Amino acid sequence: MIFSWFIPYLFVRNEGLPGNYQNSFERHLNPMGNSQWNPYREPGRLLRHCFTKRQTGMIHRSWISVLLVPVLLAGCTGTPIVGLHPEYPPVKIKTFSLYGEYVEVGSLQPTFRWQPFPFPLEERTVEDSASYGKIENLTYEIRIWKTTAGRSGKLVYVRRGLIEAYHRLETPLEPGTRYLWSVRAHFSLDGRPRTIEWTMAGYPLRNEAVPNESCLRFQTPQMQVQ
Amino acid sequence: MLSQNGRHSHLRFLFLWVVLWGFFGCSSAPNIYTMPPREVENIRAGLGTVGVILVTHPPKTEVLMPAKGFWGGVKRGVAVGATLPIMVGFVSPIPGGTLLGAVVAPFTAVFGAVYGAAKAAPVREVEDAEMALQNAAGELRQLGLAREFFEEVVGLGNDRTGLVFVALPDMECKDPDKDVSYHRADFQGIDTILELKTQKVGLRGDSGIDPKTDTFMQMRVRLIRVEGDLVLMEETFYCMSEEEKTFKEWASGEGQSFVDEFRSCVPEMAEKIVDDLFLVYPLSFR
Repeated sequence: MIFSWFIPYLFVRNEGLPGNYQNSFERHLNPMGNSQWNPYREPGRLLRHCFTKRQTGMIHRSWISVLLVPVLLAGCTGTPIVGLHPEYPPVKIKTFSLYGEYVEVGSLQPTFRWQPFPFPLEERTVEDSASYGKIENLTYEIRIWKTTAGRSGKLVYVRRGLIEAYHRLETPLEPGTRYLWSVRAHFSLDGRPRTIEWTMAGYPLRNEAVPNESCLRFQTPQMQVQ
Repeated sequence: MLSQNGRHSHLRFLFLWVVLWGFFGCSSAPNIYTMPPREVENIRAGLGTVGVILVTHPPKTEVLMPAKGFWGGVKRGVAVGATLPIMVGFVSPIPGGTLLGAVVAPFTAVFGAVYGAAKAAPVREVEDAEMALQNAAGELRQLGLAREFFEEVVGLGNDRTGLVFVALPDMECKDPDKDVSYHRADFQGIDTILELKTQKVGLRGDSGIDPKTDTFMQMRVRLIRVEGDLVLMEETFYCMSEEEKTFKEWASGEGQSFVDEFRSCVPEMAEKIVDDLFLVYPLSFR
């Protein structure tokens, strides 16, 4: 029960709801259609809304359509990601799993791809756009850790100063081995060095040093594919 | 004035919040990631020379021990066996799940007792491992890991942030639960204090008869403006080991892997602190 309350909160807070649910959710919480109001930044208001007596009729609808259905969707299809969204290797999370699966890549020197930064105009807030205009010297950093017996790994590959939002590994990885990886952007804002947080998927352990369980996951093939 | 239902709603909300905090409190996002970017940048714009201080106080130790001997195994087995179905029932969406779990609990407790008695390590073995880990912890203190970490933070701060980081003398703290006040301190040329305090260290994992555990370090970090002793940012960070091992495995080889895991946390934790407090630009929710 607790998880069914909490998971959508996380889901909403980090990613928003998928398609139609997001629209109906916003209509519920923002009936005046105030475009400046962002419900995802006010989780307290969201929860209070669900417990308000005056809207009892809505509670049940909210409960079912807004909270429970996204739980199922989160379990089946949703992939909460923080930081730059990875394109390859893709993120796959099993139903009710907190973290991703080890997705097999096609070679021992795969080309990693991720979402470019800054984000496209339609994904920005007004504040973002003001800041993003001042971004200079944008580069990316990628790190790969070989997994060990636990939940984390040993650093085996680092590249900083990447100009493009992709990178083909310069040295081959070990065959049939599981790895964690993550990426982030570095840039200067008004001349000051800045970075964005490391990419994580699933239940993001954002106050834990990297590598941690929520880093992205992949595994190499048993043999080199020609 | 709140109506009866209103009061109940608030109570339910409070209860939910407390339970959720208990479950997920340790793994929440740092404040910095959820603050409006402008607010973060305003704080950072006021930073000039940062004095780094290590608050010295023995951190709390939290060690998840294996069950000791036959009776230890029975006790642990009963506890785990009895609570597991209740917990599963409680979190499951099945109506009356908790009650169902409570009905099953006596049977699983008996099973747990038998399993625990059979699986628990002998008392002597656990005590030897405990002694080896205590020696390893002593070695860690002698290695001056705290000093190594402190220097790593100062070095990274100077290399990456464009600010000036200065090493200040350690601050002794008598009461670990009380914050140090910098109200009357005289730090010439320093406008901001970065205070580092190791709160907890130990072995953490899921409960069981002989559970696999991670080494962990919990650190509290405060960024304080000297003028007015104003706390600008406050975060708690964690570093977990790369490997999971049983208590006996951690102790083998005179606890060398235990020492190595804590050493590997030094650069990772230092980087996390410098990055999150001084460099990370919070992304808006997309």
